[in-house]
Amino acid sequence: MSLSALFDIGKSALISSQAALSVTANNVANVNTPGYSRQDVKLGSMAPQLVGGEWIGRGVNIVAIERNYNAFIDTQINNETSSQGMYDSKSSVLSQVEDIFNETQYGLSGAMQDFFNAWNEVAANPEERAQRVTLLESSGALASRFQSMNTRLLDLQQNINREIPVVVNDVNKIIKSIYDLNLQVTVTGGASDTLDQRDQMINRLAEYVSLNKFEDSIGRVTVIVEGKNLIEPNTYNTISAQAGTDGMYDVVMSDTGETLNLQNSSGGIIKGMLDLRDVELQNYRDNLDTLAYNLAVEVNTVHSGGYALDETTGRNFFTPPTTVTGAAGSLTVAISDPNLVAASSSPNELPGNNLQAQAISDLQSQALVSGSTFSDYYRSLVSQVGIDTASASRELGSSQSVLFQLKGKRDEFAGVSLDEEAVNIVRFQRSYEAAAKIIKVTEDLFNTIINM
Amino acid sequence: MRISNNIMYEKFLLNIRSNVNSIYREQEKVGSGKRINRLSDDPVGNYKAMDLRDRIRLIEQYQKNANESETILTASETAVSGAQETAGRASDLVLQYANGTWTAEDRLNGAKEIQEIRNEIVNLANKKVGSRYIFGGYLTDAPPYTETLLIRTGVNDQIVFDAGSGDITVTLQPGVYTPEQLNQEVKTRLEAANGSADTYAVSFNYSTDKFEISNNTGNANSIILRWSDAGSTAASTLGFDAVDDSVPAGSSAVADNAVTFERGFVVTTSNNVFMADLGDGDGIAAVTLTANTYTPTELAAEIKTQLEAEDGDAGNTYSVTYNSTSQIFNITNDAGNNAVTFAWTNAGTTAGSLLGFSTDVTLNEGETAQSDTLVELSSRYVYQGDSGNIEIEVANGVSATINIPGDSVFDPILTAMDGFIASMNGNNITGINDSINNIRNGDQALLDARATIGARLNRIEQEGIRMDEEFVVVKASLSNIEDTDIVASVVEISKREASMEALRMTGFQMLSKSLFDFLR
Repeated sequence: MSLSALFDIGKSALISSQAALSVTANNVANVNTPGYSRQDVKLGSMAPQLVGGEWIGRGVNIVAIERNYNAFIDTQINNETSSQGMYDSKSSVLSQVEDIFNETQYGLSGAMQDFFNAWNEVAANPEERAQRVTLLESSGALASRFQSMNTRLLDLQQNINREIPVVVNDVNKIIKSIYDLNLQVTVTGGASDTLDQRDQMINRLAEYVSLNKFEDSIGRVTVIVEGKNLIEPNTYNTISAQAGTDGMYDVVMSDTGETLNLQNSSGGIIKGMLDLRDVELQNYRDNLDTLAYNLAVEVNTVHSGGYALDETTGRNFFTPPTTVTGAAGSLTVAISDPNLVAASSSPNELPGNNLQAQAISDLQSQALVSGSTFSDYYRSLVSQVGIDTASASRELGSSQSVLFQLKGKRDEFAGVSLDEEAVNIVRFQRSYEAAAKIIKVTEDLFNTIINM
Repeated sequence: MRISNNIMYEKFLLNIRSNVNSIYREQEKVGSGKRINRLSDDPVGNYKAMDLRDRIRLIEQYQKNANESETILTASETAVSGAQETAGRASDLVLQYANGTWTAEDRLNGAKEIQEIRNEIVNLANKKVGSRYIFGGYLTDAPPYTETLLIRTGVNDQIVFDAGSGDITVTLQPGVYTPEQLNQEVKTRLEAANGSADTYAVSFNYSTDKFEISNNTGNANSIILRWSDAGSTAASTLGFDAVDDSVPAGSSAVADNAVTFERGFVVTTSNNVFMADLGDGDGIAAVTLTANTYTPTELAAEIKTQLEAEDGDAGNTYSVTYNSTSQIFNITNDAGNNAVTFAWTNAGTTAGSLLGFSTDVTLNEGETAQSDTLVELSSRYVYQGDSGNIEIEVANGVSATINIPGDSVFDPILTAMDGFIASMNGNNITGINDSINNIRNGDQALLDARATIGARLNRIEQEGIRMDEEFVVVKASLSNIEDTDIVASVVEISKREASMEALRMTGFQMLSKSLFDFLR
């Protein structure tokens, strides 16, 4: 074995220590970079040389620079990010809905009770004009509360709908970046930082839609959403928002126009938006409609059998709703003259006969909407809103905490610990110094020989 | 387990956030005083709270209703007890005047005092609470006891008016009318005759006793009420002077004068015949009065006219008079006539009770027959209400009756008083003695009414107490559900603050140091 071989060993040690220091420095530099995976230098000893019948090592080389990455946890994080996205969008809209139904002060429930109390008041004073005027006012208040609640729910529905194309556009941008990064993976042969960036992008996509992914042999990824390949190693497909006849957007594949059934998926912001628009908000509106429809019909039935102060009969109190759908939005009081309120059950017993007013006031205690009283039915609806909101925010909280746990798990592998890196710095500094010492010693050896 | 720097920062932040969030929530509870500030805070609690709030609003309504009912019933009680007091004075007087020492003139004067007493009772029976006449049953918008007006065929039954296409004469149905009834009759006749869809309103003002005829807004034509036309015989009955009133659509004509109320007789085809042998040779034959409404004087004249017509002998005359103070008819067979027999018990006679005769009588020339029972004029005060019991809810499913129809309360005493007054006027001792009993019965009816009212009031008070108790319980439950437990919140806040302090301290120490601090 020659002396120059000793130089080579020293040189290999210097180079690998320096490389290891670079990786450490890179780790320190990226301590706060989201999605960054801690990188390690894998060192290997070089193939030995046969000297005098014995194998002697020839130094060290860098086998690989690897990121600490766990594909299983990454998948879990993506899934949980999808649920978080869904519950986040639900919870933020539902907290507005909750505000619409807020009954802790004065809401529809109060207005409804006032309405029936006003009838009761008319029953107590059927000949007085003041009580009739009050009745018409509280009826108008009730009707406009129905209308305004319906309008606010409808506004929310339409806002969500208008947001869908915007979100779809975001998603398309992400799809394009993932595709670009996929190409870079091919070029760089799977450099850690490129992979980190791509996985980070996939995680962002997971926030919008719940997805499945797999990698091919050279690390290129295929992303599948609801059975459709959005990204393949060499190509990608964008999605579009397509408005139906009712103006409501559906999400479709841009190339084939096939519907992407995101409402069937398990998470994602878009799924949350579609659910809110088509399930929760629609359900609340349907319930309000049912309530308004039944209230109008029942009150009208009794009222039209009663007699007004001018002895006329057969008048509707509310403008009769034609269908259940839209009843809440169109509820209006049909009577404007207080004297036309039919409080009496007989034209010959005016004005003291109060039986019809009493009968309308009594409607409040009868089970007239789906087996419940009006106020019970509404209370159930309000509870449903409360429960939906509470459960969305609870689910959001739990998915946030699961996500936190998962990120902790991921960080167990991938996170940078400055203390560790400090140790590594000391370690590689020492090995660098030792390698330099070997080169110095080798030089001395050469001098010794030369000066012999 | 390997801990990275990042996860340490994140965990620290998370802990801070969750603490701040809790403090914020507790602070909100303390600030608003409410445990439930949004539906999602406690959906189940909120459901219950809404139910309880509805219940509170309902109970408040019931309490209001109970107050209303008490006001009306208490007013009724006051009126009835006033009537009792007044009736007490009447029963003193009736005993006093039953004594035989009084002269006819004394009794005539006494009758005036009794009339005053009767008017007092009528005023009490017409008592109002707010705009509601409390003794009218369902008919709360007009005084339950009103005097009457007479419409008589051929006397005061026509109105001439011009609704835009020339004069039209309308004829009112004869009869005894209360002002309300006459309103309706005039309105119906005018509208039936005007030849268009125009409608009118006729009203009577009970404080001025004047009628008002309105040409409703939106009508096509003005109307001219031709009071100056000789055909408008009803003008003075309705209180209008003989001056035409032109009434454009949307305006009205108010009568010039207060009306004069009258009592009278209603003669119909079922009470208008009496059988008599007038000595004219055809034996017992029917004398038929024309069906109409009459004042007493008019009826006396009608009887005379029909008797003489039936007799057929121009020389045979009769005189018929009505004594309004003693309420009897006198029929005299004038001098020079044949003897006549009135067969009041004959099956063909239907007018007996109308005229107050019940036994057959034969009159020679110059003799006079008097009614043997008091003649009933249409009552001076007629109950105009109905028997409606007004009920309002004062508790869950509990309706309280808040009125008592006036006929059962006041009719007996008012009838007794009318009889008493007539007997006093007629100096009729038997009648006065009868009145002792009648007034006692009237008094009994008032007493019964008071008992009924008292029981109704009692019931409302009981329900009121029950509602007050429930109100307290419901309020307490609501407070339990939605009010903040201030002490618990304050304790929670201080606990959280202590843990924040510890977090900040340990966080500062842990995060500010690293191995790099020691690399020199």
